[in-house]
Amino acid sequence: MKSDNIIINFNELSSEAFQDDNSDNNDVFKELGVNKDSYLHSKLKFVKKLNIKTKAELNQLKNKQLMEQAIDKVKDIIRNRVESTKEKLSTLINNEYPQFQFRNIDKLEEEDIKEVLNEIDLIEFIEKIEKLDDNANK
Amino acid sequence: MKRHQQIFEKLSSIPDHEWIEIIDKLTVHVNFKLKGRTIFGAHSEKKLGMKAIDFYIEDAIQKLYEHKWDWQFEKFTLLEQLIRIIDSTISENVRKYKVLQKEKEKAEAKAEIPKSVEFIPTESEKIEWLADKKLIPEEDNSEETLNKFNKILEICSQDDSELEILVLAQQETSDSDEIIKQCGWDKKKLYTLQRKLYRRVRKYAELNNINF
Repeated sequence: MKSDNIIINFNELSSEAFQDDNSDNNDVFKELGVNKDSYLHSKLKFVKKLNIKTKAELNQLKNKQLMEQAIDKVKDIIRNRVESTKEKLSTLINNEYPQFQFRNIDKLEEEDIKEVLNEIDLIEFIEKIEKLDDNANK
Repeated sequence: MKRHQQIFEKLSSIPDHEWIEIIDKLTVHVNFKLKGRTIFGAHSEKKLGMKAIDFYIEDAIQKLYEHKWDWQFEKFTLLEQLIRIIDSTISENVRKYKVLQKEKEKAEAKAEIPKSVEFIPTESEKIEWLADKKLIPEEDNSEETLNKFNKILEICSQDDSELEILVLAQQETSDSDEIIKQCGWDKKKLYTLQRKLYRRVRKYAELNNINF
């Protein structure tokens, strides 16, 4: 960078020189009053914590999106589809998820759907519903 | 979400030894970027709530993990991207600090202080006050300071002709490629000389009790 400020130039060049891969930059850490190894490892620990936190948050978000997608698909079948597709959905839930009991699929509320979907593998469920859709469209 | 996931996967695939190297370089970068600017003002521990070096490094990494800042990995390496975030945050903090100072000055000008109240400041309050009033500049680039620094560089390089050339070159630029071209060195040589010069300046400052 073109600058006639000698202090800025000196600091920028020193920064570049101490960032060089072959450089011994212990002086910099000494100046900062920290032990280089423990300082770098504490920062690595910080990165690892962020990694775990972000992974959990993204999984939660992904699960929420899958849940919304599954609920929309079930609601869509209940509201708009022909009786035969509804029956297939009913059978699918009754057969494959016997822990969830209901009599009339038309009377399922969003909270009921959420309850059943909370217990199951959402990706697998969405795939099965999509197959129902495919079959209905044939 | 897709982009966030993609960046997260990239970040989490970086091995520990690479993270260590990156943080090592970031520390050097922040150290030189904020040299002499962390005692008071925008980058002080009081203002940031922690040491500037910790604040800027952790903040930049966190911004990428939380996708508050997009890692443009198609264009920049992780180190380059983190340096960009740090530099931008430093500038933004200076800008915010200056706005706050102006507001503070306006408020002070409006306020009426009763004469009967005697205010006895502590040492740190005095320093803060002087800094606020710009009696201690956050970045001292006065001619006097620059001349003093030039004198130090002259003393530290006088017995070494290569260091003398290096000092002359950086009077005009910090561009290492330009200096290499001017002096006919390679990068390795330039960096070795610069580190040598830096160590001499540091030692000189310590021996002469100069805040550097």
